[in-house]
Amino acid sequence: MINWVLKFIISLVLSQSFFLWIGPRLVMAKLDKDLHESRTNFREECGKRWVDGIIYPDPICIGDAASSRKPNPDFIYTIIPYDLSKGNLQVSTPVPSNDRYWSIHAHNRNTDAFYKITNTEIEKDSFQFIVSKDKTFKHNLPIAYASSNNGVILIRLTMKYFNEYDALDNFRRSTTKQYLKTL
Amino acid sequence: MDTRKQEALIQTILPILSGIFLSFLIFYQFTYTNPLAQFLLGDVKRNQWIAHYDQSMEGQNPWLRNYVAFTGLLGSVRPEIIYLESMYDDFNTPLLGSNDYILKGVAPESRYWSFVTYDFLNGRIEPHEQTIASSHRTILNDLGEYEIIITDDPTKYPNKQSITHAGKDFNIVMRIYGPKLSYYENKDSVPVGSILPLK
Repeated sequence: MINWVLKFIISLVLSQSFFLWIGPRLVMAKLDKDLHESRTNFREECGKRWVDGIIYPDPICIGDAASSRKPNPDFIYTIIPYDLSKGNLQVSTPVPSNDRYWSIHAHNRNTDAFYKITNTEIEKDSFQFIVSKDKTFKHNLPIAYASSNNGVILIRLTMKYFNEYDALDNFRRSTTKQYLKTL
Repeated sequence: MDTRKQEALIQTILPILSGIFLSFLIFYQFTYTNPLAQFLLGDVKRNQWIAHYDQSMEGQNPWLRNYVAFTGLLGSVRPEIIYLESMYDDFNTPLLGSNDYILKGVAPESRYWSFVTYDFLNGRIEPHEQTIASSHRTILNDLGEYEIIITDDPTKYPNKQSITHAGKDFNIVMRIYGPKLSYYENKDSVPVGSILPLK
């Protein structure tokens, strides 16, 4: 009987550890699929969502296949998936004035956030930073150190009123990403 | 089946499969909004509200990480966002689509706050523009208090601030972005709203 209980407990603990490890990764895999669909499946009501590896979901489509659960309707989300096996990533994004909430979060593959900055911490009207997995990497731009090769950067931009969407959508689309060549 | 196989099944396969099955049942509870997950995961419980302060911190409680991933995908790190969620009114009755409610309270000190209704499957309710009351558009009284009606039909309350649940059973999420830092030191100081059913 003790043997039986021991096997039961070991199986319970090991499988729970596995589920806890795989859970966020499954969700991120679903996000990958949804983001890929935003590239391949053009839908009139969603606008041009995928531009040069950056996904610009609109408020109409963010709640469905475009990847966000429980989105805040006031927010315009911009999603930048990255794969650091291609090199360190440099992101450049416009920054709105401090009268509206705006933030950048960088997330590992297990969904943990490893970097965050908001517009109140930035004086200029644009912001550039690097995402790197190499803890020894140095650069004159701020560096966010990731612990996994894959992940996403999420930018939240607040609409004070829904009729601001077109102007703010245009504003955010000057965001760029590029992988830095390794020497 | 011979006796040896039966014995192996009972002594080895059965406990392993039972362990995996129970493990999955436990794990599953942390993949959607339900009273058990809220009870076990809430950082601070204030009345019917469950607060989360650090949903996507590195090295966090792995059950919370899963809960956030499955219900909201990506959270934030402190000191940036405080999430409060509730499935109940002030009488601890689930929030029902057949009722209208009045949500009242003092607005938090923060860069931005909002209340949004979602259905019990964590889905967006349409029209989604009518499911949100936020700091940019909600008028406060002289004491800094908001009063928001939650109803299936906002046109029933023409002179009130209202959001919709569209007749669906729902939960409500309060987001506080850029909160006053003292909310982290004294978690009970975060102002929470009261939710009362309207007759």
